[in-house]
Amino acid sequence: MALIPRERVEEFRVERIAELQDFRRAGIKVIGYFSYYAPVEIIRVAGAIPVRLMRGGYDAEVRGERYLRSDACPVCLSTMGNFDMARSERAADSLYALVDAIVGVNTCDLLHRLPESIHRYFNLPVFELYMPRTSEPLPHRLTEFKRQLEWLAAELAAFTGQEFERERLTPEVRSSNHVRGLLRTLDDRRKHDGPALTESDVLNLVTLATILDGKRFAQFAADVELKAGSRPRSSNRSRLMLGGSEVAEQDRWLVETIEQKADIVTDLLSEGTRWFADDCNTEGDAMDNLTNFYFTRSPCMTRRPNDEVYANAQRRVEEFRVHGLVYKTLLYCDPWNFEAVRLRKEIGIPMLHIDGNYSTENREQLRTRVEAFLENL
Amino acid sequence: MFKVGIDVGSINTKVAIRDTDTGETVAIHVRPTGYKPRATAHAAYEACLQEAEIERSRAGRLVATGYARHAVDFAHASITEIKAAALGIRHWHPECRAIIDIGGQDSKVVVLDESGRVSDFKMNDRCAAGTGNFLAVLAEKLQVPLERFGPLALRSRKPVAISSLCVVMAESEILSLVAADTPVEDIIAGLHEALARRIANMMAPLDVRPQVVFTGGVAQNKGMQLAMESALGQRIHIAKMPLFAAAVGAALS
Repeated sequence: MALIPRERVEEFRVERIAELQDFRRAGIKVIGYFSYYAPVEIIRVAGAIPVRLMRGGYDAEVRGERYLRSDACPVCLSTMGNFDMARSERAADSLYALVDAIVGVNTCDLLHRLPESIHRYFNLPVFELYMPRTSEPLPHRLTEFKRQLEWLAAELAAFTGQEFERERLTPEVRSSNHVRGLLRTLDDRRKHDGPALTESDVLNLVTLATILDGKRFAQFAADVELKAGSRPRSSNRSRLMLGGSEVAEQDRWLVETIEQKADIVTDLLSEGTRWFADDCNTEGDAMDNLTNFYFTRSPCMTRRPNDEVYANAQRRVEEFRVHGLVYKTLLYCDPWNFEAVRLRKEIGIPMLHIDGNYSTENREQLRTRVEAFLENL
Repeated sequence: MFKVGIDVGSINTKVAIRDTDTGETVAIHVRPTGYKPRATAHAAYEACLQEAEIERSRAGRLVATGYARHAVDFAHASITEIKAAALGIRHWHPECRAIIDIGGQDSKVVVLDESGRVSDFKMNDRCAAGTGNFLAVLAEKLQVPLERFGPLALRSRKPVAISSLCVVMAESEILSLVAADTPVEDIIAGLHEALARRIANMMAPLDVRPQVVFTGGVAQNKGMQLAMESALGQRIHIAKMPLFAAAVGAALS
């Protein structure tokens, strides 16, 4: 059973939206982002508040077809749909209604097009970083990436009208490291039998970490740590890894369905445990540190070479004593979908691959596939 | 003592009762599932007991399977139709290493290891393409009863190529063929071949070894068996009582 009920996440969201509305009235800008390659420390030092937009939802996905082709990935379609709905009375209080600009990172072709579309249809300023698809940190690539981070800092400072105080970068990095450290401590509790946290909890924690103020999140994470510590530990259920594309906030049906029958003890998701896997160096030049950190974060499947993703998966299978992998890709999310064949060959444990969008059309069939997979573990 | 298996499928609900002393299946029953799977399962169970003249108190353990297995709240346990089909087919076909199951709502390929345990499976579950529904809808369009599909396909001299596996698109394609006065048996044989290709593609990444057993409602169609053999390039065995394999498997579990 999840430690963090969905209702609690929604309460935090409502509180945060009210706070952000106050900040905006005081003239402070709110910047939306999608990818974990977006350098939130730079956004903060530029005097703005970063919030991650990953709500998802089937209604939003369908609404997004007004702007993008229907074979765009559900993340991009639902993002457009959520922006559209935020401009109607139906969702006037959503985070999508509050952002003043977008920081995009072109991790895949559609995430390259998405900020352009947001700018075109919703008239929001967009600042886009070009992340090299090659993940080897060769000097000329790092130099170019650093140039882009410097460009982003200057552009955002001009946008907010505030001076970019570089000396504030390292304290911001420490703050991010602190949050990631809290999440790693909590995640480690899943190595034991009868894991103290569910995958739903971890995904909710990542969601809150990307929406809330750092101090408020740290306070909440400490409460969760206390609750997790007092949980009885015994379980003879199968221990699973969940892998695949982004799991949006309103796309949790599969996770919750699996967790009725088995324990998901770790993940190989686009943005699950990878979000807090690494820390940024705090010694030396802060912009150099951020360049190295964001360039070399555990790579998304879009980048090559991505052997590190496989090495990380193997480590986690051993450390968390995983019996099987459920790999859920989003329809038309080709980078993650493409890797399913290699993963099946290399992961060394049974794997179930599911590909779908946010619709509810074949849920009972999916339940059968999940249950049949668990029966055979 | 007896054990009961109930398979609540999308089209039919099937019941099988096994005598645990003799190992024989002593009663079977089938009826359309309709839109109230729980009530149908209950009625089918009672009817099967009555037909076999078995008192309910002697019926013993009851295991549900099929897409609406969770609706059978009077069952002692439930298993997926994948495991149930494996148990049922292997019971009758001990050499079986792969099962092709084409039902009303989905199609599945189940690979078994030497001991009969499920080692891998694939399901087509996104739409009617590749399922029994594909043939059922098009049978209506062609105004040919589904049970005549098999015999008519066997009479075909020149099956036409049907490129669409989407039911809606295939309907349009068939309209063009009908307008061109194409013999209906050639259209039906073409539909079987299109469905067989789809199943063969689904099987391609799996380690499929003989013996391959074909089950599910569509396995009763001889034309489909031949199309599958042609697409796979190997002999396909038709399951004993294809409609009841999962129900028997549930009773065996």
